[in-house]
Amino acid sequence: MKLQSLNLALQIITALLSIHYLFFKDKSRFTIILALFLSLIAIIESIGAFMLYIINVSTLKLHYVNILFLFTIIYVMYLFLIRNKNKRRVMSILHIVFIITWCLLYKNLNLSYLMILGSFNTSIFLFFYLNKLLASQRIINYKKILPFWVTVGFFTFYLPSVPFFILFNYLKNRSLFTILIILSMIMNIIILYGLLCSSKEEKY
Amino acid sequence: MQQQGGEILIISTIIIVLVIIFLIILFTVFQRRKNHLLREKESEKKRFEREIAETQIEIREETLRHISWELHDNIGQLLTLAKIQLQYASTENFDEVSETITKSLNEIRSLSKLINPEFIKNVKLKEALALEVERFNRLNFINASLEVEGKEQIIDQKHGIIIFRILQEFFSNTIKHSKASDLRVILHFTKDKLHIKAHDNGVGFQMNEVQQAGIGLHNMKTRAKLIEAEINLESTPDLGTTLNIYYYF
Repeated sequence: MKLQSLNLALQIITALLSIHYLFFKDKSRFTIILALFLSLIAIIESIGAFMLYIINVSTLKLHYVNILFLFTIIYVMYLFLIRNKNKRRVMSILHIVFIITWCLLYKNLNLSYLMILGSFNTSIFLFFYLNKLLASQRIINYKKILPFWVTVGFFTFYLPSVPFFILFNYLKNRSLFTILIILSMIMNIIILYGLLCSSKEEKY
Repeated sequence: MQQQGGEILIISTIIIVLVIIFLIILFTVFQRRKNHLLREKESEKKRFEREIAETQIEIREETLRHISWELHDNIGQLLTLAKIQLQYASTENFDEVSETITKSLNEIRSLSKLINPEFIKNVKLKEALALEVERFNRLNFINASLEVEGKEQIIDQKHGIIIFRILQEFFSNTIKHSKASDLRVILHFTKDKLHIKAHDNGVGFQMNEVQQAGIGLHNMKTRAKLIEAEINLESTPDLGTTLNIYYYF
């Protein structure tokens, strides 16, 4: 419970800082979408905590709907960063597959398969972005680029969470959820670091 | 079973996290190396641009020296002669005066080509060499010739400036020190390279003596290296000096 509260606090701080970054540092499309993404997470997680611990209602449907928005936002976020037409086409196909799966699984509310697919898609987007940074012919101070830190943050959460969601249906021990919370906290800390250290969006 | 599943989960999560850390480190290393290479490339480009600018200044200075010399020793002399001829003018030597003035006008016209700033800014190797050869012949400095062999190809304008300056330095040394009567320049074009051969029939020199104190030769080699050209200077006492430049397209 303590760890969950700490994670929620971290999510809220990251969301607030991303809004501050948007208004005072950089008003790029990426920052707008990032602020939207982090705010949505903070709001949904707050509502989820309220439903689960105060009024004692299942949050499965809320998270199921939320997942569609979150992965769509990630898709749009990286669509703005990646210019290569073929890669954008691959990204679009992957996301369409995700939406179709979401629709097909809506009746069962099977969160784990969706999370696995979403995490896989996100990892592909992240690889595309890192590949783009490496292939760029410009001198890039990647430590000052916010999308780089966001990518590292997403990597630390989405890829390691795949085994968790593979075993999700078989897990009865709630203590193992700690792994997911720790990963989420690491992701938020990395994004926070990026928001604090990055400067205005660099063109490359 | 439940406990085993938990262990598998923890271990696989740790492994993936470690793999991600490794990938990020790898990315950082590659990115740093790439940045380093790009910086080197950038500084190399700047050095090249600086060298081009310096070479253009040298060509300009050399041109101004030529103009000054021609105005004073050539056109000045011709006009002085015309003045003297006019002082003693009569109907018989009127043609002589007219001829002297026409010659002066021709010299001025030739000179005006060199003064044109566009000439120095946009030096085209073949045209610039032709002008130089024509100037040597006109002023009776040396009996110079320019031959072009093979199918002509376009030379990068900036590279042309460098090659022209190397040859200009060679010509300057030929005229000043070689006591040569003939200077032959051959541009031999092939599909992938240009071979430039400049040869004089002067007194020549001992190669080992010049290599010790040859700043001019060092300059030529440094400049040739900038455009990835090869340069080779050969000289034999009493047989003359040959400069070979191999420029690759």
